[in-house]
Amino acid sequence: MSQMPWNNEDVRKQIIQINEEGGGGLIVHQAEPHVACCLLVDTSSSMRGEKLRRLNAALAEFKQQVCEDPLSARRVDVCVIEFNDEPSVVTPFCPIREFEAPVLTAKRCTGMGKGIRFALEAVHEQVHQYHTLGVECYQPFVVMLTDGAPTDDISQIPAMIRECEQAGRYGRLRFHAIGVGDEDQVNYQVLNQLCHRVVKLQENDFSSLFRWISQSMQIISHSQAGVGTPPIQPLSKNMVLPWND
Amino acid sequence: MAQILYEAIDTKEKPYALYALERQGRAHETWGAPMQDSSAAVTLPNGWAVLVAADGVGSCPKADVGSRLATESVVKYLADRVGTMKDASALPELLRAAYEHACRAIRARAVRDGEEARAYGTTLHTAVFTGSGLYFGHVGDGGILALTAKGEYRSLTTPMKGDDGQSVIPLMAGPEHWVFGQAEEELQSVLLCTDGVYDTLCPPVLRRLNGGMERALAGYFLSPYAFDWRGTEIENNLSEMAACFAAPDPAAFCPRLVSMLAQGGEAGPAERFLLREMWPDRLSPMYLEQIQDDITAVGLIRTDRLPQARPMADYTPPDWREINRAIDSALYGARRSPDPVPPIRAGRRLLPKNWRSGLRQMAKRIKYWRM
Repeated sequence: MSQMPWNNEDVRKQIIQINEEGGGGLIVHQAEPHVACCLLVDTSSSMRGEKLRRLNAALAEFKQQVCEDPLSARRVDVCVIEFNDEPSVVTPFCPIREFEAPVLTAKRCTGMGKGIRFALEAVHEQVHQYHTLGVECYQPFVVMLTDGAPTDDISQIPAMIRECEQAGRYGRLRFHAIGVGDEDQVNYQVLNQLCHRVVKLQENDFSSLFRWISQSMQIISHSQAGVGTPPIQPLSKNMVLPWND
Repeated sequence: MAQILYEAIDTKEKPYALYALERQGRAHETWGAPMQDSSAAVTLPNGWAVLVAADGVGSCPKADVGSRLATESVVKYLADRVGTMKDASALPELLRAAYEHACRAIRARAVRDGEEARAYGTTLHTAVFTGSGLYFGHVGDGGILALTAKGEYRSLTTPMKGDDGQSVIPLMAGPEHWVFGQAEEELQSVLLCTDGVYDTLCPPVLRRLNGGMERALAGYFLSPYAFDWRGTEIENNLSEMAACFAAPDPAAFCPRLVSMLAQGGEAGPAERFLLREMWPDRLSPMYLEQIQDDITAVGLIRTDRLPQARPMADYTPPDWREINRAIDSALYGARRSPDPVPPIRAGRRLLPKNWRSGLRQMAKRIKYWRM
């Protein structure tokens, strides 16, 4: 480097100082890659009572848990979709740092098939927006919580989920089905048909579940967009993850 | 610490310098996956040079073998046929034949190993420098960047991705996907890189907005001033470059930037520009450090002349603060309610019925941003 015009020791010191003080790329980063996280929640009448109360409490802590990690706070987009008779958006996709936890209420049947279809479409639209804008994105993360069996037709749904998971270099999305409550109430046979990532959540431990989702978001946010997702482990004895990614 | 491979190719008495840098990705290192990139740069008896960079597709079980086989096959095929040529007119056909040869080599290996050929998925970027021109072949993501004799930065290729924006179109996808071309302008230098480097120098969001790139970072790899080919110790120079590539250190990175900005002139204004316009919050070699994937950069820099000097302002990095604000606005703006924020009603549609036209309007707005 002797022939380079870099003999000013003061400038060198300033550069190093700026860097040590958090400048040099730590203040503003290139356009962040995003990860779309869709929470698809069963709000049928069977969720009424303790289950929904604990779910609402866990949702309220979700934002803080994810935002404990500054990188995740910049990269995670979250939406909440509920399904009972019909699916509907409770919270549209928004940056996690602006997420306001909804208070969910229970009513009527378990339109799971319509709910999943609706959620997959919502995620697809969000990812399409990322691509339109040239924003890199990670595999979208869909988490469905249910305590019962579908009351509508779901015969087409497993194939639809498989297609969404398998298409693309590393799969377009990761779909998780979380069974909540008593084993005799949740139809795990149906959930296992839907996808291979089925979690048994015991003792209505939503708090552990959302900590696990937060941790998953942090692991994804710290990985390289487009290079697949590292393995994610259960955090609590109340979560049974039989699959191995 | 990731393993760094670098190679200073002996180019004594040649009018150019060649280098090849490889770094195993931290993600691959952590997961115990092998290095999946492969690269080569060789000089030929007629003075021409062949450069190759390939990136094994991560989801393919034999990606590392695929990228190595493709690189070795193409280099050997071209070296055997091009090394004594004087006329470059047959190069486009030879490049295509070299790609077919690489496919055959992969298929033969797949048969031998009892695997499917698609298990060896890899991208493949190739360039042949003839002294007066550059011919290239390209398939997959990553690509080929160049600095023209006029001092302008260009991407000679466009990354190939599937419809989902994530999947990669590999070599084995077939000839209909391969792109071959010739640089239309006189070039000062050329860089073949896998997606880790390419996407850092040409972030997708800049490509979509105005075809731009991070010129200052690109200059680090392409500018003869940054490379300082005049140094007598080319090996030391390259080892410093490799060290920055592995763990960017401002003390080693900045002298190259200052030298590039000064373009042979006074260091003072370049230092001031670096301090005022670039370093505080707009540009960082740390971008390189944050790449988790394997990264590879293979470069050729002409040493028999210098490019036209460009105004220093050309190297001003994009205003990422503003770009991030604009992206946020495009992604969520339409859905955000004016303050104070009213409660969100259940049953609200995720996107308005006319979301497609909304997106078109967003894209229109974005077109007018200037970096």
